[in-house]
Amino acid sequence: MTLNVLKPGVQTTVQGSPRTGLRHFGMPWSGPADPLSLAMANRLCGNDLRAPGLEVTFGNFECLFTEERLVAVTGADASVTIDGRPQAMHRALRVGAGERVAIGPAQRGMRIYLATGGGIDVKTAFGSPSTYLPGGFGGHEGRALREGDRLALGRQGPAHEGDATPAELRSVFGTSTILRVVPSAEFERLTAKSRREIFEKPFMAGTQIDRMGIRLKDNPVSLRPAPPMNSAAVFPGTIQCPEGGEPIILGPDAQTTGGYARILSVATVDTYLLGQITPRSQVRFFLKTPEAAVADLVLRERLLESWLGGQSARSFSSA
Amino acid sequence: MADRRVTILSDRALTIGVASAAEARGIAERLRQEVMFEEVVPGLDSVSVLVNPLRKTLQEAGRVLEEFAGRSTPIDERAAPLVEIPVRYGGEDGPDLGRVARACDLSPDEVIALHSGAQYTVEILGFLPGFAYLGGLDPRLATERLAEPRLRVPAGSVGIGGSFSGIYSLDGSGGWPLVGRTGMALFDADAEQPFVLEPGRRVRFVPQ
Repeated sequence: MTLNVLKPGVQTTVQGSPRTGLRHFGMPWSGPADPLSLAMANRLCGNDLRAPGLEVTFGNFECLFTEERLVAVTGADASVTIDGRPQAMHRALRVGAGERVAIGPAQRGMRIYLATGGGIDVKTAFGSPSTYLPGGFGGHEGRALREGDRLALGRQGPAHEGDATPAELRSVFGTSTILRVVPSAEFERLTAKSRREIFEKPFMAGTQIDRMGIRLKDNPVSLRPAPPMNSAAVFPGTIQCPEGGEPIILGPDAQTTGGYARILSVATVDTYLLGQITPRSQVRFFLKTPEAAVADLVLRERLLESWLGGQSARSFSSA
Repeated sequence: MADRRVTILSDRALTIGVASAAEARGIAERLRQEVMFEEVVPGLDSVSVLVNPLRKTLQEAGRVLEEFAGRSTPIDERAAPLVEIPVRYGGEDGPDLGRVARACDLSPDEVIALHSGAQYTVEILGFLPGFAYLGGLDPRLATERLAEPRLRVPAGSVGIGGSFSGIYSLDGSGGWPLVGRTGMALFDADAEQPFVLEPGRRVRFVPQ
């Protein structure tokens, strides 16, 4: 009843529901960097949308199942094989006992999600199964998977082999990402020139992208001078700007408080895209009012509801 | 900040300025009783809240935040639990004790006496899970951060950063000069109250 890791890839972690409600203890959320893709994979396996699955960074992952299971692979484009037989992404696939699932390198996007019927069975830490690498807890022993790891699997629930995500609901990732954003608390600290240029010129994602955040280069941002800020709340999706002028988009493992200017925040409807921004790819911001950003979220939820059911909101929410 | 207006942080988060960390903690504690918020995070001079935008509008959240911040009565923290933390100062446990002493023009023993002689308040937790910013440091001990952060700071290390003292609850990297270390477990991942040091708690260090 285990999933045995044969090739771990550069960083594969168990991620499921985030560790919410504890930010006043300094506790980051963790959870999948692209929660929508994990929700889609879980849907195909008959799981709760936030059941623990594998987040495979950049691909090149291989594992063996000791027992028959349904599995689904979503997220960044990659080849998928079962014992060498080519398979489709976004489809409920049956893996026989002793068969191997191999995922190739990520082609477009950065993170691939592998869900298994019944989910990965890990102990929770602080109420969540998700891995938080800097703290060394959650997921499988608080760390990224290694060759030889054996992960226990939950019980397969009702699901149908061959089910596929409707084509119109599949996310497509590329080398350029447009993020809807809303102004955040220190937006006014941007100089008039920066307030224009931040939306007119593209940024380039830095080479060091991790679950803490994404640094943005190539479009330096200027701030008007101000006295040092006292530490205050930040959240995944907050865009901070240190004095150096290179904004940072905070990711799922980001710290809970910070002292840098919070210039913008990624609209909730687009936060899943943060998990698929690749190093050196282009990032653009599109300004929305908070009301318009929520209206976009409501529209998207309506679109997803036919497939994910009423719990589609759970792909981003903690409630 | 101390700008008592509700400011938008995102399409699901708001913040309001308050006068002090103590006031922020009091407001946050009462806001947490309201089930409408998914997160309530006190800062050093602000309180921020986060909602599920499909269930609550920012307007609704803003009204509640403003109302609670408006009728803030400082909570009496003298009644807050006092946590006594045993600390081994200096040596391998506090590799920067000598550096702090030299920077402050004190002897290592004087640093230990001043550091363990004060009563601290957990102002906020942040940076790392359970990392406590402790207010109440004797001003004579205020010390700059290390020029190069340590890649590995063991859990339980007690450091000084500017006008705060702090305790690393988990192994990690960190840039605060370290004066000592406690063997006391500061969190339990499986407990209902996972962290010993909640915001508002009073803390005293006991040299071992």
